[in-house]
Amino acid sequence: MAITIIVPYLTFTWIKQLSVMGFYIVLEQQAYERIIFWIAAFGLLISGCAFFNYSAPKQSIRRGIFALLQILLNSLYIWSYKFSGATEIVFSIIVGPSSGSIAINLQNMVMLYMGIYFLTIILKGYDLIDFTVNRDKIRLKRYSKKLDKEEKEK
Amino acid sequence: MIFQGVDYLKIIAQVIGEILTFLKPIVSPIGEWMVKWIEVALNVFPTNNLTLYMAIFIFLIATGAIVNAIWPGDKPPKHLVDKYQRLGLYDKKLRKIEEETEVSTEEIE
Repeated sequence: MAITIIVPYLTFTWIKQLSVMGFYIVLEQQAYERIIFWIAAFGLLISGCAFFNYSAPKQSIRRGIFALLQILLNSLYIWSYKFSGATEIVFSIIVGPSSGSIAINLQNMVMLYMGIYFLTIILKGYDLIDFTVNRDKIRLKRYSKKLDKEEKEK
Repeated sequence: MIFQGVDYLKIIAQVIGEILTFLKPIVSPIGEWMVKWIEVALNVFPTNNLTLYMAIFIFLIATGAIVNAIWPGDKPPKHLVDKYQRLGLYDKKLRKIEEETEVSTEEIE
């Protein structure tokens, strides 16, 4: 939740009105609001899935499903930065009576990230198939560990 | 600009830049394909109502807590419990058989 909501929220709030070497850089209000909406919306979904994922037993099917769901939502989250205009951030520069603007295009970097996420989706898909096919072996192994733990405690 | 004065950060940025440049021709086309389906998926999500997202979040947290507390996944598989009972063996012995010989259920029966 800290990574998906709080850190981006604070970052965008910080850069919303930034002063660099005496120049005031202002993030446009409409873009800011859209970005914050998507950060909050997908951040909530990702946090919910992450909670379910990490509280589920290791190598369980439900864990596999939520891990896959989480990575799919992560892809949407990353892309929503572009959708909200965050991959092309336009800053307005105000110097006394005159003003101008700077645009930073991060689309290529986001595209690269999407490629990496695709590989992660493949990996999570493989994990889910593995957990489903080897369900009995995994459960037996997990149960053995539980017995070993109980044995040690005795 | 703020971090440009720190040397090791510059080196890290250069290394990451090199890796990203090397991977770009392979990963970027996949990224473009990802973008296509994501744009379709994003149309489904409501854009003006955070309440729905909050409701889903609360539902996921509550369901996760309940489901994973009730079924922590440390019980023996049902088919094995049946097998233990049929064969009159106790858990640990059968566990050793399963682990050491990897004999399948059908073979034991």
